[in-house]
Order: sequence, then structure tokens, then C-alpha cells
Amino acid sequence: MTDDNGKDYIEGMSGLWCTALGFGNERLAEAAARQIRDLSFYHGFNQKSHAPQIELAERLLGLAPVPMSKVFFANSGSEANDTAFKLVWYRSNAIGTPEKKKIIGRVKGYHGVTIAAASATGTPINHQAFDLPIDRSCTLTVPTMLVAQNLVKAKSNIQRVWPKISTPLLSRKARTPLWPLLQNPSWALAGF
Amino acid sequence: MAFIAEPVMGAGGVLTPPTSYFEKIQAVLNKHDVLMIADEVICGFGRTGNMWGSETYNIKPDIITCAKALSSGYIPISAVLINDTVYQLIAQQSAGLGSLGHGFTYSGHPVAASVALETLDIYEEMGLVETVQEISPVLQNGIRAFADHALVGETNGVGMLAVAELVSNKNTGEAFPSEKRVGPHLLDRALEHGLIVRALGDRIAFSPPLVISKVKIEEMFKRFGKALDDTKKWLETDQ
Repeated sequence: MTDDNGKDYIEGMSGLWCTALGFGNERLAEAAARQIRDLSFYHGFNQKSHAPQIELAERLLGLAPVPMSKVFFANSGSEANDTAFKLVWYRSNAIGTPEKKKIIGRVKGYHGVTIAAASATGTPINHQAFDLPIDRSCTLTVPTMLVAQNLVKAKSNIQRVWPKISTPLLSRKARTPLWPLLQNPSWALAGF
Repeated sequence: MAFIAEPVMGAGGVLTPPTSYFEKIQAVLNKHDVLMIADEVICGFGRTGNMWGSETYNIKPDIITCAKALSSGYIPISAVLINDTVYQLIAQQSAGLGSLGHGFTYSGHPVAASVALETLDIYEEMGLVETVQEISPVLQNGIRAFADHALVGETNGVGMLAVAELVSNKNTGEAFPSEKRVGPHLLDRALEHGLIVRALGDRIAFSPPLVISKVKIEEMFKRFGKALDDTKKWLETDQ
């Protein structure tokens, strides 16, 4: 990377965890130019589709770490996560458990800035003054993964530590659908 | 209900999970019919040393979200992968309603999809996972070499993700007060030495391109070392 004074930098973060192939890859530039000439735009509504979208969906299904069935495309990680949550809610209604709609995130977890994705994100700065999180999300406050790492390091007795870290959670007004989860001590062992 | 997690927490500070963390969580999720969503936006496509972070940490997600390296960041595109059990229920529900009322104008945009396809072609031709597995020890050993530095507490990472935590007391691991802004100070010193990294609090994160060379990684850490030394001097004179 070069700034406007001509000074060179090493980009140690791939931009924002993005440029796996570095910068200025010619093949990617060509692929974009080719596609703009060939079919500049088409959408996926009203039973329409097009070759690049279908092909990409098939490629992703082939790469998936577990058997997957369908792919939905969006434009950012935030939108992808919001979509995932909406599908979870849709499913809850389909199976007749409309009360089970919580999205459980983690302290320090980051999932984006759209309304639902930001709600599942566990950093106060993404909530403050935005009136987030929404009530359908729940970021488990304690214990965090850091606590879990420290427990592992200290080889602490989980039975001794669990009441201490679970009390703040359990003393809050119980969110009914979450209750069985929070009562299970293996959450603590697992790192919550 | 669903639980969402990044295999390795990214913006939270490059936090890797303890061994068997996700296995234990998923046992509870399965028991209570809570879906597992793996947020692979950062970890997906080789970043952790496997194609997916879910492989590195033995996660069996019902839903996967991915973006960023899907197009090497060249063009905005993300994807949601769902398994067949989830799909059948959604199909059933939308059949009843007449349509699934969700989709973006630019969903699967042909230009973005083509760039993503070309990206996946390049990954396949270069042997993405093998490339990462070959180069990542340089990054992991490099970051751990800073464990002896007076300002550095924890060093950690996996694959092509690495982090060094700045601490005020090496022995106790005590953090700097956040108002001291030690992380941001180090970023400025790094810029002076020609290095762009990110401070997540006082955790300095590295996530270089997966195609970076050994020489470039060594140069990157040389510059980081200079920024660390400058920051140490600043702290000493600032006391």
C-alpha cells in the first residue's frame, strides 16, 4: 500500500480481513470486466436467476464443511447474519414454537451492524445510543470465553466457579426459552 | 432459537476457543433444539488453516454465513448456507404463505458472483489450504517470538490470524488503563515504520493476505518490533 506522500506500507490486516489474494489481482479485475460486458445485472426475484449465481451456489455447497442444501446471497456479512436470523425466526413459526426466537450471541462476538446482527454482537459500542439489542437477541454476559480460557489455564474447579459466574445471569428476570440452557453447567465449562 | 459464533472471535480481539469448546456447546444446543450458526465471515476460506473455521474447531453448523474472502474483498458479496432440515421447514412455511418475502436487489449480483467464482478458481488452482498451512508457521512463530518483549502479555493465533496483547505488567498480565490508549499509540508508531495493523483494545491483530511471502512476514514483524520498542520508550518517558 502507498499513501498520498508515496510512503510504502505492509497491509498487515488485508484491509479489513478481506484481501486474501492481496491487492490488484488481474484475474479478478478481468472477471468483473467480462461479466459487466456479458450480463451487467440481473436479480433473483420472480423465479429468475442467472449462470454465475447458480454456479457460485453449487461451488459453495461443494466446499461446505458439512452437507448443506441451499445458498442465499447478500452483500455483506451483516446482511448475511440478519438473513440467517430471519430464517431462524421463520423456522420457529414453521415448527409451531413462535416463542423460541432468541438469538444467542457472546460477549465480544462480532456479527455486524445491521439491527439484528448488531444485537447479536457483544460489544457495547455497537449497542449504545442505537437502542440495541432488540428483545429477540440475548448476548450472554458472563462467563465469557476469556473466563473460560482463564479457567482452563488455572485448572479451576468448575463446580466452585460456576455459581459465581452464573448468579448475575440467573438473577435477571428469567427469559423463559433460555432457562434450560443457562441452567446447564456445561455452558460454563464450554465457556459461557 | 439459534446460537451464533465466530470460530475465532475476530473484532473481539482474535480470541481462539479452548479445546473442545464448540463440541461442549453443541451438545447443549442439540439437546434444546437451538440451531448453530457459524459466522465464517473472517474465518472462511483458509484463514484458520482449513477451508473453514468450522473444520479447525469441529463445529457442525446448521447455517453458515460467509463474506470477505469469498471475493477476496474485491467486490461486496456474502452468502448464507443452510442445511436441508432447515430448508425443508422454510420451504414448507413459504409454500403456505405463497412466497418467501426476503431478498436484496443485489443478491447474487452477476458481477459479484463472477468475481467470487474467479476467486474460488484461484484458491483451487493455488491449493489455498496447503498454501496457508505452509506459510502460517512463519506467522505463528513470528508472533510468539514477541512473548519475551516487556510490553507483550499473551501472544496467540491460528493459521493466518495472529495477536499480541499489550500489558502494563508482564507477570500479572495486568492491562493498561484504556484511557492511556496504548494500542492506538502503537498503531501510530507502526504507521511511521510502514506497517498497517489493527488495535482491538490493546490486542494488536495481524491478518495478512494468505498469499503473503515469508520475507514479507519477517519484514512485517521487524516493523512491529520497532513500533513496540518506540511504544515502550514513550511509556517510560511518559511515567
